[in-house]
Amino acid sequence: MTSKTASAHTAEVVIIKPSKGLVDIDFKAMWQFRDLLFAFADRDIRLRYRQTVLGSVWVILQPLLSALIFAVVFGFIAKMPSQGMPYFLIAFSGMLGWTLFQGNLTRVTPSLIGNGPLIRKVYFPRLLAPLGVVPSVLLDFMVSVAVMIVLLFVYHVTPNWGLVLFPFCVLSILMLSLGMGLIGASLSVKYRDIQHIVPFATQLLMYASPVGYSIAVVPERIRSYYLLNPLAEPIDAIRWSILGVGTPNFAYLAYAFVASFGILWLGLIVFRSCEREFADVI
Amino acid sequence: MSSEFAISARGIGKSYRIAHKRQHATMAEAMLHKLRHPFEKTPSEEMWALNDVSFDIPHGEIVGLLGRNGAGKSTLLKILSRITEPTTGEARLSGRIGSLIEVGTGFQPELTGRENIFLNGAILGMRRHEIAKRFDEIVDFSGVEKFLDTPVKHYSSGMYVRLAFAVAAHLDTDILLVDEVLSVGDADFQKKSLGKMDDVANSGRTVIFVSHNVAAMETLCRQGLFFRGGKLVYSGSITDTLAEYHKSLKSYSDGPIQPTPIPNGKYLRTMDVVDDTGESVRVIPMGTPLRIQIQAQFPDQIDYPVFTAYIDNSSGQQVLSVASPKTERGIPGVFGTSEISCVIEHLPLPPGEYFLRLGLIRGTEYLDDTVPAIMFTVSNADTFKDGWGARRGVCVAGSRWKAVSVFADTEEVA
Repeated sequence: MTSKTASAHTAEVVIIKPSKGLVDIDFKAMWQFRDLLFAFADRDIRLRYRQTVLGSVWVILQPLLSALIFAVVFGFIAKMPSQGMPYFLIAFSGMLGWTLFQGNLTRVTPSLIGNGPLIRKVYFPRLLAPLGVVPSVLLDFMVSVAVMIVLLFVYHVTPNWGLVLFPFCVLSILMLSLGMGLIGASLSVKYRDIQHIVPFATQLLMYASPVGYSIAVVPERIRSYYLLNPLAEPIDAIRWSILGVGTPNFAYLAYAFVASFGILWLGLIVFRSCEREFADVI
Repeated sequence: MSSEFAISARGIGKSYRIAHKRQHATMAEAMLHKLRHPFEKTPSEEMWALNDVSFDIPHGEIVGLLGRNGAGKSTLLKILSRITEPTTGEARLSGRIGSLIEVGTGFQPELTGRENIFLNGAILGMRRHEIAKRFDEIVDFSGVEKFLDTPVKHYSSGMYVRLAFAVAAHLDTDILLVDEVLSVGDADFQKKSLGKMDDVANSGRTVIFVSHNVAAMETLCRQGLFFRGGKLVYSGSITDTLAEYHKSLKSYSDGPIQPTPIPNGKYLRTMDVVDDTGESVRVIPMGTPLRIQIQAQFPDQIDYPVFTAYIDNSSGQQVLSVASPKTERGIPGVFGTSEISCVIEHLPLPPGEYFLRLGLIRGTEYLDDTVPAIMFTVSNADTFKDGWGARRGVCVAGSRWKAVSVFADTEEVA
């Protein structure tokens, strides 16, 4: 062998062998492919705004319309209490956390099947497929937050120090939705039924979460069960942090955070254990 | 010590479990069975697609993988490119790995050519600035600069493939795994991509190469690995390996004449050469129709499948290929148990031994292929009624002759 070729090949050695362990994520490979995460995100964002007539208007319109429906159903028809706050704000602030959760879950779940041809033909760290969805979901969320800020000005509402809780709740919801999404994505590779279950389950979960109403209206005797849903307290706490409506239960918020972290961890384990079969099954 | 060889494989194996499902007449019956025997395991069988394969490839070597479909070539390539994990063994690869497997994978129809270059580059593991650096080169090679800002869904299939190949071929990698990419594009582009592969090969990069184009392999590769039934059975210079490979093909086509099963076909089940009465034959009189019969099983509907038939001569050179058109004139769709037939009206091949292979393509994706499966003989015959039979040349054709003679009167001319 010539020394010329040898010198060029000392940098990187890849060892390929059967994998072991529960969560041995190849962070090195993920770092090498970091630009792919942005390429996936870039693709998602471009595609979404290019294919629709209304384009970016949809992102603003969707939570507004949903909030409007909630305001009519819960506020106007069911006359739920709103502590003097316009019901539209109650509904929209609930939509914030929900949009994030639902966006992440419904788009992370099909991310493996959607990238099926890629996974069968090309190597890249598989975790980047579901993770690549998150930036575009976050962008949608940011747009909703911007709309919220506008609404606060319109309704002359000034948030107080409670706002420091906001990022904490967002993180909690992100972990939960990503964890559930990872489980959904991994299982849907083998069991295509998952794709049909997820939309139904999300709808159910929406009514079981304080999206269109605040936790205050949930009867006291079932509230401790109601709050087992790790999505419930963060969504309501977001509302409190912005509007000051209701009282946050910090114990349940901490529970939600820990539970969400646990589900994210579980999601990673499930993803890892299914990962070695992706290319063979998809 | 890892840098002594570019690729060093020890005992690589890959097994798949094939479940033998119990047959139930109705879904209710199947569910009932499940209820009665909740813990019963589906009996399954282990199938080794690749078994205990070891080899070393020095840096800068260009190696061709040979073997029939299902011999393990693609599985090995998939393992080396980290698409799938091996069941046993270990491989060490020193240097950055790139794979050129089915160009165009990951192209997004809605995105423009420019956007797809960056996306595809990232999918292949390139950093954004690396792609930016090679951008002009890629565009130049592909020849689509005028349509860079057009969504690729409006591209012709030729442009699509050219752009995809250009991105993949400009990867800066030390090890390049190439699977069946040279069969794309028009003749001109094929020549260009072969040239590019030659550049790659001469730039000191290590290349592993799989193709149906045996002639291209012979020119590009220096070493060969020959696989049969998941095992590495021969390794040596490409010429010796090809000779070994062709030897094994001949022995395969012995036996009574009947439809040839395609044991590893995903969709294709059997193939046959028949005469005008549908009887299996292996001898075709020169210049007469070649009739090919294919039995296939499609669990899902496939629209506009492209069936291809390749004919190689006895030295492994591809002499003819036909394909069903991807339009209404072709096969609009196949589903379930299907029988496909193809007639080449006047087989223009001189007497000799030939190998017939089939392929099945959807879009740019190879669904199935049968690396030589049927050997047939073209016999000498006076089909063209010219009393000559075989003549010199690589192909034959019927001809009509005519002469117009004018018996001119010299006096009139004068």
